[in-house]
Amino acid sequence: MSEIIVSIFILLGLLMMLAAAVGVLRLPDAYCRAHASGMSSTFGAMFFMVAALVYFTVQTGTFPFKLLAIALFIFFTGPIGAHMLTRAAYFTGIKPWEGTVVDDLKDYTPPKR
Amino acid sequence: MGASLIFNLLVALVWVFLKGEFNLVNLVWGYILGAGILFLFSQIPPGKVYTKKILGFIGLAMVFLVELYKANLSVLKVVLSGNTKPPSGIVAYPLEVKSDWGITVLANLITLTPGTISMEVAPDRKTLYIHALEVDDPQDVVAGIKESFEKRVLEVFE
Repeated sequence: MSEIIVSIFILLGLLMMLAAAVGVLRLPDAYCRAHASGMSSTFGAMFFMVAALVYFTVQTGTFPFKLLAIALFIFFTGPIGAHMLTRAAYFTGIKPWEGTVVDDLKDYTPPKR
Repeated sequence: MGASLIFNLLVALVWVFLKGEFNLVNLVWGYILGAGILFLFSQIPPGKVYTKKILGFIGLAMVFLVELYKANLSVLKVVLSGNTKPPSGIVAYPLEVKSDWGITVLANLITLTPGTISMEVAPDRKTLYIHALEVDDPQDVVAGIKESFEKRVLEVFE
């Protein structure tokens, strides 16, 4: 029984990650692609965590708190990576694609550090 | 001073009861433990105890999970639809949160939900620049985040 639940969650996680990969390929520019990869680090990773949680709880009979720590680390590091990537892309001069509706950062100059 | 002394004695007594035997060793050991606990808690200024905000925090976590679900679905829709040319854009978001923690948490929550990424905080801390995957109206993007996240972040972290 638990095997079925674990399998379903792993499958859902895999589908999420596949969709994220497809998104990285299909979306028009670096900034939009960062959104697609965000799916894999949130819902993709979450489904895998739930699967691992169920699996290890059934296997060992104890609740694996380590997994919660892992989920927490992913949730802390994922957004910082996306933020730094898009920020670095913009300030090194990569233009958003031509279909961009608004660009409020155009008149902004980053402070010298 | 007086209150902490009484607290210390109470901890010592509780320790004695937990041990189940009233003797000097247990009492002294309990007193030492109590002193250690008191020292640890003395670092927290009174009134800043987080437990008062625990309900707000749980609310924030719930709202975050709901938003995460909605955002994942909408990005999924864009990715898998025939037309992968979303009206993306960079929107200036007027910040209401002021503290370091508030801005950090809000920016991270925004980036964690797919479809919006916080790109830059202006040096005067009044504007957050957000890249959004689908901008039908910049005002809608701002209003959506204000309504869901910022209100609660203000409650918990300010």
